[in-house]
Amino acid sequence: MNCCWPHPDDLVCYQDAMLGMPEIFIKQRLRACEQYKQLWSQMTEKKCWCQGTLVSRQESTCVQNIVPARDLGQGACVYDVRDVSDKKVFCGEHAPKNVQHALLEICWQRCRVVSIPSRVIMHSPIDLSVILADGSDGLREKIIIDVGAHARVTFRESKLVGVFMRVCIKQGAQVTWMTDASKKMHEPVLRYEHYDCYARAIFKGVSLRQAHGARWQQYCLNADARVTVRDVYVSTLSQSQSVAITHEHKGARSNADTHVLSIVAPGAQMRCASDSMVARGVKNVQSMVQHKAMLMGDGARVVVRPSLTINQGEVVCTHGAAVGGFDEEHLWYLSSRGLAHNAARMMLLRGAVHSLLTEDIADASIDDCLGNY
Amino acid sequence: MTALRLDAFAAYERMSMPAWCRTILGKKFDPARLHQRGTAEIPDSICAFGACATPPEECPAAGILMHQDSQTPYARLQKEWQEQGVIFTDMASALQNHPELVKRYLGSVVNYEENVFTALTAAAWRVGSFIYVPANVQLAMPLQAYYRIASQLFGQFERTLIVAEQGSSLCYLEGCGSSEGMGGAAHYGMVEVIAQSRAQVRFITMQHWGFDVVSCATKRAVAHENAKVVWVDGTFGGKVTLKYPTIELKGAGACGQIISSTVAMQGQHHDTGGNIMCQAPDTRGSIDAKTLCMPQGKSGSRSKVIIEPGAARAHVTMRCDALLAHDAVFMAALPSIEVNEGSASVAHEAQIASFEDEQLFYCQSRGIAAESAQTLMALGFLDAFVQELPAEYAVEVARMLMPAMKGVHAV
Repeated sequence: MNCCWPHPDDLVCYQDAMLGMPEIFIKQRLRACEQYKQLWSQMTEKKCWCQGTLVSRQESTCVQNIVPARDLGQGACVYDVRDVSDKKVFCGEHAPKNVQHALLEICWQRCRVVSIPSRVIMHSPIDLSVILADGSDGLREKIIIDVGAHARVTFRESKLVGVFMRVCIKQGAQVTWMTDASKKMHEPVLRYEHYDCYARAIFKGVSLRQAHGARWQQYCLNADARVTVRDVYVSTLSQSQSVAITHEHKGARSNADTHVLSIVAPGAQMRCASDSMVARGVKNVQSMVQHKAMLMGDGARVVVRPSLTINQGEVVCTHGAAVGGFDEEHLWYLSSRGLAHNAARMMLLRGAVHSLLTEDIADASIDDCLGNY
Repeated sequence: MTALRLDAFAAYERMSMPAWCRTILGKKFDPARLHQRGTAEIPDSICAFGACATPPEECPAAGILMHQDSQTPYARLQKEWQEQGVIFTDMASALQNHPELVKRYLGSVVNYEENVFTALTAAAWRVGSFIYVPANVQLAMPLQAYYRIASQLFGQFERTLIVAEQGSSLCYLEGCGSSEGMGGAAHYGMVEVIAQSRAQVRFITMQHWGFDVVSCATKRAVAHENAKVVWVDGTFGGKVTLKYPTIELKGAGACGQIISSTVAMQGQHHDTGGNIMCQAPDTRGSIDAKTLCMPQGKSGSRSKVIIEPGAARAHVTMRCDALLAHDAVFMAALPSIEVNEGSASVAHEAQIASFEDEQLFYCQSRGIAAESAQTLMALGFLDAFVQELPAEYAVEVARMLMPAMKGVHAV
């Protein structure tokens, strides 16, 4: 496997981005540089299975201007992290666990905070692609989303390809996250998403993606938190995608339910890893991860690595995977009813995608996304 | 053979322990720590657990081999099968009496340079079974071997080679056991199975080492056209066990099945699983790995399926389940699926769960004591494995689970 992460010595180009940055962030970045060196050397010793393509994006365009705060209504707002007096809150207490996390921690140039106050119900969805990207693709952007206790909010996004995102969902809050990236993107995706779900928080994420690159999602579930993830990845010819999903169950009675469907074109490859971890003493946890991959022809390649790490007895954790092509019987059934072969294939594909995305993503987007087949 | 051993030992000294192994076994194993000369009294019983007191002469098998420490004090093959050209002997005798067969097949399935354990075993092996079944000979009764460690700090290095020629079939039953208090003893195994076209091989292993024995085994079978290999693997004893039987489906229409059961009790760490590699069209495989994790037991399940390019219409199902005691433990399920062929299909399912209170309550309300009910549930969980065992082994599994259930759970 080729390793395309930059050599630690090449990280010098990101030092410019530290000019004018608050000291607390500079310290954090230097720490991340050290961790990156260690993680990079560990990764090159082993096989690197999650490929990234940040090397081609090393040009350092220093973004130093502070974005003015923006009101989103009902007390919610977006502001630059440099406007915050207590920046420690947004520094993040987690040390990078993998090379991509460390790299994104090093290379971000602008950090913005989306704050949703407690007990607010946002009736209309917040479109992050519009308010955060400012016409760019979110590359080298750190986004912190803070959802107050018992708030309810829906986020939408469609083209944030390179973000480092931390989402904090406080007690009893409900967050719905919809990603509609059905348009083919030329830039590779490189995203690291960390979701902290506090007690009784509910997170539902639905996404439809057609882009190559890598995406890491990490969910920390505290007591009674519920996380539901429905992801569909569609790859076209010669695209390479990798997805890693981690559920850390830190609280009792937490529940995670993840379904991932990948449609893999001939010559394309999909790598999908998931890890469900249950800490010692955390009881009555339920965790389910399902991977489905549909191989659309010769040369399609799929690697699935689901893992469960359990340190406690009273849990129910399941994972499943199904990899294969079209069911010939289904195709034959539809063909015998007069449908052309391609129409039958399309119908089966649409059915598979709809079964996951239900009513959350528009039919037109799904049809656009599957148009290549 | 001496040159081969020296090369293997040189490879062993060059190699370092894989990172994931270090977390289980610690630093690299020092062979000088163990000695290789043991006692050679014939055990009273042929069965792995000692309680089935069947004298070797009366054991219903086509052939019997008993390996104790580094020696093979008892060997028998029924005359009927000898006349048909079947060879069943220990590896040292096979080297002397059938050098051409050993030279042809030994090392053809597992290369000693694969990992640190294969290198060490290839360098230091002293015991093992050699089986050769000529074409179209079908063994109606199983061949049985028994490995026993009877000396403290003893290193038993086993190398087994099984060759089933075209259209032949055989069932090989292997029991492993040791007395308690074998402080620091170790068993390193390397098993190679070759199933030629249309051959059928059933390999049943029942491992029940004492609680202080470390066991690392590399087991691999190759199945050619329309051959079938069934690997039934039970791990019950030992302090640390690393064992992942592998089947390479090399010929079109070949079929492989792995049924693995592991019971990790207090202080034990078992890392088991099974691997299937489909390399030819129309191959079929299934892995069924079950793990029973008792209080303070640690267990890992690493199963892997690889569908290589050209393995058209290959189909593999994989199932990894674990049943945990309530105050357990550590359990990791780390399966891996790699599909490089568009017309292939793989299905995988896994579940980690605890003993269900409702089931327990149901049994108790019918007058079954808690321990018996739990044993019943555990046996039900391991049913796919138990069904594959001969009757005397199946009875032993039930007998062995009973004390393990004591104090597991209280409603």
